[in-house]
This record gives sequence, C-alpha cells and structure tokens, in this order.
Amino acid sequence: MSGAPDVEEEPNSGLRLVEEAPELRQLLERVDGSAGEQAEAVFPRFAQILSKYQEQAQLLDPLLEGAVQPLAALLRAQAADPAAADLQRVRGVSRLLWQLSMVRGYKTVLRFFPNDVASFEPVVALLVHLDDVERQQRQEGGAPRLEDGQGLWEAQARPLHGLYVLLLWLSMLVLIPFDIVLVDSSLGGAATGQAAAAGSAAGAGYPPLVGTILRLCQRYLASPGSTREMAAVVLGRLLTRPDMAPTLREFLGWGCQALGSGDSQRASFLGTALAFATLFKLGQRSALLAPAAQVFPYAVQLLGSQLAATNALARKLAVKLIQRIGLIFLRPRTAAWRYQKGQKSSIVANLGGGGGSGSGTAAAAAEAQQRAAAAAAAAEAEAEEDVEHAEQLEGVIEALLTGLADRDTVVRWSAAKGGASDTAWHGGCLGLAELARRGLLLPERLPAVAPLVVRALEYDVRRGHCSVGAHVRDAAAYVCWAFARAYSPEALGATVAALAPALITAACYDRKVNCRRAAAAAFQECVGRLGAFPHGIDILTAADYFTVSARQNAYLCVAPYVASFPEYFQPLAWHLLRSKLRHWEKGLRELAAQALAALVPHRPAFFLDEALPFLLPLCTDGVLEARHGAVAAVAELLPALRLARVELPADLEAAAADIVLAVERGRLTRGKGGEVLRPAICRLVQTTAAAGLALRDEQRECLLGQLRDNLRHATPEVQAAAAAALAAFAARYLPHASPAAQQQLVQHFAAALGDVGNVAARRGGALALGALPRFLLEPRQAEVLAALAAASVPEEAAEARDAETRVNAAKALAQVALTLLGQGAAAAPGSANTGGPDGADASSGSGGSGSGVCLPAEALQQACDAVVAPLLAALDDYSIDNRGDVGSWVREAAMEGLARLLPLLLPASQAHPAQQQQLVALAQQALLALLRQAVERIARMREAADACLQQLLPAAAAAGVPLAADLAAAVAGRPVEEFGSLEALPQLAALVARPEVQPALLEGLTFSIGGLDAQLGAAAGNALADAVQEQLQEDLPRLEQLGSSLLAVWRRHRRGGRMCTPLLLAADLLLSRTALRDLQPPHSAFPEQLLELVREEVKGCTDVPRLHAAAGVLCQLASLEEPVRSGALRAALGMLGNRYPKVRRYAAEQLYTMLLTFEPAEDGSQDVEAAMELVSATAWDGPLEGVRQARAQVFSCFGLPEPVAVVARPQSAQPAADAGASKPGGAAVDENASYQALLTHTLRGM
Amino acid sequence: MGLLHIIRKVKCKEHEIRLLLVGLDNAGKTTIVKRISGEDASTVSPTLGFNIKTLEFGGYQLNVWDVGGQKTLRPYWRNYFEQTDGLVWVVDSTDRRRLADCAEELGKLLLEERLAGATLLIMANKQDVPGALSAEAIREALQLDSLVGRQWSIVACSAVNGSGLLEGFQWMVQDVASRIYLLD
Repeated sequence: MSGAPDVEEEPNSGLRLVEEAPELRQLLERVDGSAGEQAEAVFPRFAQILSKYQEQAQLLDPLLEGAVQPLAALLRAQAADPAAADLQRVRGVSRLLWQLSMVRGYKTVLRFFPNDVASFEPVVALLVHLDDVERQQRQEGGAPRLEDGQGLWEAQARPLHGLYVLLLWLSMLVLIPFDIVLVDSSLGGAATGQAAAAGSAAGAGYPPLVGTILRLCQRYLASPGSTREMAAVVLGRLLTRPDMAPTLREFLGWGCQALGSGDSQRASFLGTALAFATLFKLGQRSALLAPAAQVFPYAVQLLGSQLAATNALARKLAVKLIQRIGLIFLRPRTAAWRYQKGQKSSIVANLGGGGGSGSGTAAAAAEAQQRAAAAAAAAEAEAEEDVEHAEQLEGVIEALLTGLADRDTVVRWSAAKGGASDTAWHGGCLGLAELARRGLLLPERLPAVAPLVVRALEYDVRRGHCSVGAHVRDAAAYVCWAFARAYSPEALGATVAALAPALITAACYDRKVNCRRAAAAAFQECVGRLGAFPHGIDILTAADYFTVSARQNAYLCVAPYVASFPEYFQPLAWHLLRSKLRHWEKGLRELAAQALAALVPHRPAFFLDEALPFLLPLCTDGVLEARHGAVAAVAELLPALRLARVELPADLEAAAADIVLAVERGRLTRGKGGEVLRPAICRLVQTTAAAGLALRDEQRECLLGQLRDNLRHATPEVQAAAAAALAAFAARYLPHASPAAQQQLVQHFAAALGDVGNVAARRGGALALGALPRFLLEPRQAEVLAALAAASVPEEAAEARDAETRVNAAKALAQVALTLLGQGAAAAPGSANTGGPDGADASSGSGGSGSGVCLPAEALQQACDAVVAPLLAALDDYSIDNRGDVGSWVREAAMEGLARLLPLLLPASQAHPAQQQQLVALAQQALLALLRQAVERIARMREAADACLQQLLPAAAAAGVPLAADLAAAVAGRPVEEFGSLEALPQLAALVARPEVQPALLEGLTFSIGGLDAQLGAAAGNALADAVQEQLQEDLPRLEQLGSSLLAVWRRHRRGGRMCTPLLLAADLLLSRTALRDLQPPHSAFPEQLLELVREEVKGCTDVPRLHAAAGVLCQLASLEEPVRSGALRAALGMLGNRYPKVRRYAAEQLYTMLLTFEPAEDGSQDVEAAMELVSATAWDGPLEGVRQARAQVFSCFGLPEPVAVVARPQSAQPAADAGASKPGGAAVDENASYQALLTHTLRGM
Repeated sequence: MGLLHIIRKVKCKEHEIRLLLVGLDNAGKTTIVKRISGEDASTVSPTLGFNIKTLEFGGYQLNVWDVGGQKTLRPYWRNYFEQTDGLVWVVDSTDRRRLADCAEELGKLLLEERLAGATLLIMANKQDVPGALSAEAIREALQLDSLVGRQWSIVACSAVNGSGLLEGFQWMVQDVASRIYLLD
C-alpha cells in the first residue's frame, strides 16, 4: 500500500487526505492498549472523524490496514475462549469495525481481516455464544441493560454490531481452501461446546460446523437490517463451495419452502430472496443451472405477490433475483461489433459486478431496474441461439419487462408514445445508458433511440407547484455520455447531429445546475471522443462545468456565445420560445425573456420573421405561464431590437403597441395570475416607451391606466416596475398631452399620498412622484414637495403609520429635488421650461462640485426648507414595529438623499450668501446626523452612513462647513467594512473633544451602549470611555461641557423611550470609568442634575433592565460629595424595597460594592459596617415583608429618615409620597400597588 | 445519483486513470497516442481540439486526453472538471530554440490548482532524431529538480520507434495507482 501523503482528490471538495490520521491512530492505540475496554469510550470521536469522510471514503484506504488488523486481533483474542469472552468488549470493538465498514464499504474492509484457518472455529463459537446471550437478553425483557443509561434505540441497535462484524469475518473464513471436515474439531472425537452440539443434530451430509453456520444464518435472514445482508453473504459464499452440494440442496429446499409460504413470513421472505440472489451471483454458472430452474417460479411468484406490490425492497430483491437467474441461464459471449479499441472486458462480468449498493428504496428500485434491463437485453440478444433453457429464458424476459413497468419497456423498445410517467422515463434512460456502456445496444437501434433521448433531455412535467424531470434529464445526459464512450463515430453517425443541439441546449438552459453540468460533461465527452461536433471545442471552452453553474451566466453569457454559431442558433432560440418562456417558474421565464433578447444581435431577422409573430398571439394566451412569458419576452425584445438598429415593420409595431390593450380587454391582469402578469406589463410599457412605439390615444390611455392601477397595487415588486415604467412613459408620451391632463396626473399622485386608508396607494403615490419628469413636476413643485415632506413624517396615530410610505416619500423627496434641479434621470426632451435660468443642462456633470452652476435664490430656499430640512427630520425616525427597527429604512433613504443633494446645492449657492449660510448650517447638521448614524446599532446603517459621509465630505469641506475637515480626517482611508465591524468606532469617538459634536456623538454611542448586542455595547462603551479619558482628563471646564451635553441629550429623550436605559448605562459607564466623576457638587451642578434625571426615570418604572441600570448610576452618585451623596443614597436604598425581587437583589449587590469604598460622614452618625452586614446578610429577593424591615434598619444605619421609599416618586407623580419621611403610611404604595399590601404595611405599625 | 456521481463511481470501480497529455505544438503528443493505441502513426496533422483514447494498461483503464498544443488551445487545458491523475508533458528534444518557452509553459501549467496532486511525467521525445537533447539536458533546462511536492520522472523516448514509451507509462501508472487504488 502507498504511504504517499496526498491521496486521491475528489472534484469539488477540499478534502485531500485524512487530516485526523494521527488522532485516529491514537484512538486505536487506546483501544488496543486497553484490550478493547476503551472501545466504547473512543467510539463517538471515532465515528465523528469517519463520518467526515463518508463521501470520499477512499481517502481512508491507507489507514484501513492499521485499523482493522488490531481490532480484529482483539476479537480473535476474545474468541479464544468464547464462554469467558467479555461481550461488552466484543461489542465495543465490533462497533468500531462496523463503523469502518459502513463508511468504506464492507468489501474493502473485509480484505484486512485475518483469514487463517485457526480463526474459523473460534469465530463461529464466539458468534454462537454472542447470539445465545443476545437472544436470552431479549427474551428476559427487551433491551439489554446498560449502566450508562444510553438511549433505548442505541441500546437495542448495539448488539447487532457484534453479530454483523462476526458474520462479515465469517464470510471470508468460509472460503478456506481446505475441506471443512478437516477443520471441524468436533469430528476429531472431542466434542466441544455448543457448536458441535448444534451441528450434530443436523444429521448427515455435512459437518456439524457447517450446520451451525447454516442454522444461524437462516435465522438472521429473517431479522431486518444489516445482519440479514451479512447472513446472505455468508450463505452465498459457503454454499457455493464445491464441497457443499448436499448443504446447498438442503438450503434450496428450505428456501423454496420459505418463498412459497406466502406473505405470512415476509421477513424471512426477503432474506431468502437476498440469499438466493447472492448465491447465484457468486456461484459457478454450470453448477447452478438446476437450482436456478428450481428457484425461478418462486422468484416470479414473489414479484407478483401482494408484498411486492407495496414494498419497494421486495420488488428490488425479486427483480435482482430474476436477473441473476437469467444470467445463470445464459452463456457468456462478446458482441462482435462492440466499440473496443483496447478495452477488453467480459460482458457478463460487468453485468454481475457490484451488486446491492443502493440504499434508498427509490434508488434501489431504479438500480434494480437498470440491472434488469441490461439482463433483459442480454437475454434477448442471445435467446435465439440458447436453446437449452429457452423456455425459462422467455419467462425471465417477460418477468423482467413486466417488472420494469410495461410503459417503460414500450418507451424503450417500441419507441412509442409519451404519457409515460417520469419514473419510467428515468428507468428507461438508466437502462439505455447501462446497455450502451456495456455495448449491448445494437447500433442499428440508435436512430430509433436518439429522438427519445432528445425528448428525455427536455423532460419536464409540471406537478402541482413544481415539476419533476430533473432526474430524467440527468439520466438522458448519462445516455449521451455513455454513447460517446461506447460507439465509434461511424456507428453513431447521424445520431450525433440530433443529440448535439439538444445537449448544448440543456447545458445552457436547463433549470437545474446538476443537469446543466451533466449535459456539459456529456457534450465534452462527445466532442473529445467523437470529434465530429461542429465548433465543439469553441463551445465547450465557453460552456464548461464552471461557467454553466450559475444560471444567470449560463443564460446570458454562455448561451449567446453558443448561439453565435449558426448551427445552434435555431435550437437555442426555439427552445426558449417553446419551452422556457412557458416554464412553470416565474423567475426562469423572466430570465428566458432576457436570454432571448441576448440572442438578438446574432440574427435580428429571425426575431422579426419568426419570434415576434410566434410570441404576439401568445400574449393573450389562456395559459398564464405562456401569457406571462410572451409579454416578458416582447418587453425585452423591443429594446434589444432597437439596439440592433432594426426597424419594426408596421404590422408588428401595431401589434406590439396593442398588447396592453388586448390584455386589458381580456381582463387578464385581474384576479389570480394578474399579480404575475402585472410586472411584465409594466416592463412592456417601459420598453414600449423607450422604443418610442407609435400609440393611438386609446392605447396611450390604456397604458397610463395600467400604470396608475399598478401603482396602487399591494405588491412592492409591481409598484416598483410601474414606477420605472411611468418615468419612461411620461418622458415619451406626456409632453404632448394637454396641460390639464398633465396637472391632473401630478395631483392624482400627490393626493394619493394623503390617502391614509390605502397604504398601497400612498406608497405608490410617493414612488410615482419620484419618477415623474421635470416638466410635470415644475408647475406644482411646492405642492408636491410639501406632500412628500408630510408623508415622510410618522403619523400621530400609530395605526396610520407605514414605514414603506415614509421610505418611498424620503426617496422621492430627494429624487424630485434632483429632478427639479435638472439632475434627475428623466430630463424630458422638449419640456416647456417654466422657470427662469435653471441649469437644465447640468445633468451631464453629475458630480456637481466643480460645475459652478449657480441656482436662483428661490430654488435654493425651497431646497433648504422643503427638502433638506424634512430629510434631516427623517433621520430621527426610530419607529419600530414587529419587524424591528423599520425607521432605519427611512433613515437610510434620508441619508442617501442628503448625500446626493447637498453636494449639488452647496457649490450652487455661492451667489446667495443668505442661502449659503443656511445651507452650511444644514450641512453641518447633516454631518452630525451622519456621524450619529455611523456609531449606532445596525451595521448596515453604519456602513451606509460612512458611504454617505464619503460622498458629502468633499463638497462640505469646499463650502467651509466647520466640521467637515475634522470628520474627513476621522473617516479618511477607512474601508466601509470597518464601520460595519466596529473597528472605526474609536476613531469616531475621539471627536468627542469637540463640543459641537458631543450631542450627536453621545446620542449615537449611547444608543449602541444600550443595544442588545453585548459585543457592540462593549465596543461602543470602550470607545467612548477611552476617548473621554484621553482627550478630556484633568480639563474640568471641558468635562463640564461634556456633562451638559449629556444632560442635553437626556432632556431631549426624557421619561421612557428608546434612549432611557442606554442613557442610564452610559452615565454609569462615564462615572465609573472616566474623569467625569471629578465634577463634584460644590463646583459643578452636573451630578445634582443627573441625579434629578435618574430619579425621574426610576419613578414608576416597571422595566427591570432599566431599574438595574438606574441602581448602578445611583450607587455611582452616592459615592460623590454631599448633597448628591445622600440624595443618591436614599434613592439607592429605596430600591432595596422595589416590587421586583430581582431589582432588590441587584440593588443590594451594587450597594455592597459601593459601600466597600464608602467614606462615612465625619460626625460618626453613620454605621457603615452594620449597613454592610445587613446588606450582605439579608436575602433581598425573599418575601417583601422581611425585606422591608431590613431596609428600615439599613436606613437607620445611615441616619437617614426611614422608611424612605420615595425613590420612585419624588415630586409630581404623588406629592404625598414626597413627604413620606414624615408620614410613613403614605410610602407603602411604592412597593406594592395592591390595597392589601398598603393595609399590612400600615398595620405593621409604621 | 446523477451523471457526475456516476462518472466518479465508474472511475473508482473500473480502475480508471485520467492522463492529460500536453506540451508545446509539434512535440509529438498525437504521435505518441497513435503509437500506444496501435494506430498508424505515419500521418499526423496538428491536433485541433483534443482526442480522448481509452487504453488498457496493467489492469487499469487509461483515459488519455491528448490536448492540442497550439497556443490558442492552451486555455482549454484547464477545462474539464474530472480529476486529472497524471500529467504527461511531451517535449520536442530537437527544438532547442523553444526550450525556454517550454519551461515557462510547464511552470504555468503546474501552478494550476486543479492539477495540484497530479503525477508528472516528462517525455523527452524524438530521441531518434540525430542531435536531440538528452533527457539529462532537458531535465536541467526545465529545472525539474526544483519542483517541490510533486512526484515526477523523465524518460527519453521516441514515438517513431517506440522506445521509452512503455517505461514512461509503466512508471506513471504505477505511481498513480499506488496513490489512488488499493492494490489488491
């Protein structure tokens, strides 16, 4: 064996060698070293490693010898004295071997078992012993008892490993080249053990040892699972020994009886069939002629039985058995006409080779079918000459053919009719391929077969919501592949011409990647082996395994290239027209439409003469798929033809222009299916307009009506398509409409925005306004902008809010502004300019900053007030619904709008100082808002904010926006991913030193600190704390500034809301980790104001995380100077009596930590030691009553008035509580809302 | 169970070895293939595209891909998805002028990721022509000794008189088979 480190590499997989080889060896050494005791402990890891190589098991080959031999030796050692064997170890070791044979296949693993004669008897003895014990345990009560409490299933399955492995070993040992009589020690006089006892009962004819094996295996034939398979292998090997004739006779009798006994014993039924099949495969043909004749009727009976009708396994076994019998009847011969060229192999050897590998029943059945087909053909080819068993042979063939489902046969042999099921087609293809590979298909038959293969290559049958046929198409590619390998070019002849286009069509246009690849592979095989394919080499350079893997690429790149060869153009184009444009998958039809358009440059005339005349009538077809495909295709063809500079003939142009009207007349966009058709119709309108087809008034009305209707449609996809179409349509056809009609249209959409009841209409209205060209918008610009601005604000009433409307409105706002500035995409030709000098021609220099175009003051003022300001306001949209932070969509749209608009506005305002000043201020605000977004919670938003900053900063810097230079330095040279991954955070946080940045930066970072994502929170917290420490330490005035910025943010987001908990957390963080705590009371008002805000947040709060955060801040404040100290302490102690046990306990923990460093008042009135004792000893999450007493004591320790439960209600909410210090009873409500609690509290005598 | 799966299975079951026969144009690749498949080697014209031949050798099925050598065909070398087990690089030993070209192309080919594990056999062809470079000289010119992590060998051969071909393929098959197949 090879020791080479790099073993076979499978295509498409990274594994090239067993990386864990040393570990596997180590595991095996552990097992070996412990004489098998460790086998069970090792198994999980062992199995885990092996399962990794399930798909590439041959990688394990170099390790097999080293694995199997020691393990087998361990079994052998146990077998030395079966009665005393440690069965636990036998099972454990067997399980490892079983796993190996499951992964690599038993035939390979078997080679490494020792095959010495001396092992024979001990292995049988151990097997018998193990079998006895298992049976006993099963009888005693189900599963064998296991100490380690394994799952029932595993416990039951485990004993079988031992039996399986021992049977496997035995299947080799029975091949020993000596007479078994010589080996059987019981015949040597000294009868030992159970083996001999069991054997002697069998009587004459064979040694007792054989009898033992026979009985054991017969029993296991009846037990389902892998032991049955092994038992069949053992029997097959044993009984085909030349010295086993009597045993074979007995077994045949037993087996025929079992098979004849009917359905009652289905278990032994299947086992027996399996054993016979194995037997006939392994045995000498001549010796088995008589047995085969004996078994044949039973096999036929099995195939026709009730069981076989419902059980795929039974069918598979029956067909397999019949096939093997058929092979016994036949004399091997080689067909003279085979494509040989150095390839020499016996047909029958090939046919019989490698049985029983199918695992799933479907695969197994298919495999059985293909085998059977091969045998059937072999039988037919030879039947004439083989007179000896002619009668049975006919039976075999008939059974096989019916077993294959006759439709199948019909398909294959009489080349007739469709209507066959996909399984029959699949079976037929596999059969054909197998026949071809083995050279059994007569070349004369090829012309008859080829059309069927071509049909199979396109086989696709709709079934419910999807279709079946991929397996058929793949199998058809297999047939082509097999043809290429089996026949000479001369033999294939004209067949190639039929197959080549079909194959290349499948390689380009199949829906499934594996079919495209299979077809490409088959095509390559054909080109390489048969040569004669036109342009074969060029094509398969373009259409190889890799290029066809992505559907988009196959359709839009590979196929157009292939179509550039005239031979393939028609097949490809017609395949799209006839098949893919009416495919059941919508996405594929759309892709097919694009693919069709991609073929236009090669032969435009084809599309005028054939494709369009074919497609146009289909646009109103009764079948939705055909209709949709046709409309989509026409829509794509119009611009493609225009691009190819082809004029549509008048009749085609008229017909194309009439499609929408015809669809409308047929009411085909209504009801079911309308949703599918609508985007295609919109696309058609768009391309009709782009191509400038002449429309009658009626048609124009109809198109516009469709668009208006679709803009109110509930599906976003339809609306988006309609908006795109509207832009093209308006630019092309509306300039000539009457002003009244124009205005009516604009008004219609502006009004739709306010239609609170109809969400779809509002969204569509916003989209439409964004898409309209300048000449329509200009007369009503103020109205449009106001409507959009209003729609971008969240409504008062929560049920009227719609995030998508606001997103669309924000986008449209920016777009309309750009259009009005002459920068929109749709600057209509010949539009009547109503305004003054307006830079309409600036659309070419979209970058803006250097263009030097100056805008009039009114336009600038309008842009500031009606566009930029609303967009800035939209950046504060933090609405959430059940989809999460939907406001983020609005913010993103607003950011992008600002980033596009401001670089145009800033340089255009130089002539107007007032507007310029205002714009600079707005730009500063925008930068701050973008900075805030760049440090907030959502990675996507951070990245978007960075992109927008990069877009905006150059213009802002040029216009002298104060912040621009510093911000540019902070974001310069950072790839956008670093904003998503938080790496850029510290650099942005460093801007905290600038007072004007502080509110925005603090707000953003604080929001991140309070986010659910712990990693994000930590990163934001660290960034902020580090920045403050680095830049502001020991600079009290600037710290004071920071403090007031924090308070300002807080006051903006007072009492509840999204910022509340984050602010508490951020305050805690800043106080504990930065110099902000140096702001002490007498000199600074900051702590006092902060305490006030915190107490306000805690008041009546029922949010546990928020209360936790508040406890943290209060404890921080309690360690500052008076008067903040006692205020905070009172509030913190108050939380010890909170209604939530969790909060009480958390507050106690925080308090304890704080008290460790607490400096008591100098007058000695405070007993901190006692307080700490109390705080740590009391179970704060216990019942409220005890807690309350303890809290009173803690209060007294600090000399604070008790019980001061006032934390939660200082002033406004409940004035009485504020005075709670003097009126004890009033405070009770704090802890418990219920009247009962109040009562008990008072009764306690407080 | 699709075609690609079957191809993989077939390869394993039928002991297939896939060899790629490459080299500059006019190196004699097709002549070698014709010679080993017993066809008439006297008339060979430049290969347009490629030929696949299946040959039996020492119990293995060799799928020999004879890929054209013209410059325009070179991109096709990396075309197929099937695993290439062995690479036969044919050198025209009489063509001293293009030896550097040859070394460069070989170097490029060996960088192909999909050929990473393949065994490399260099055939110093046309030894029957007087003045042909020796295998030693070619070995130096191609800097074969500097190859890292690849099994390689060089044989002097002549497709015209058949010398050296057997040894070359013997070595190749043995080396590939010992890597891929469990020897029975």
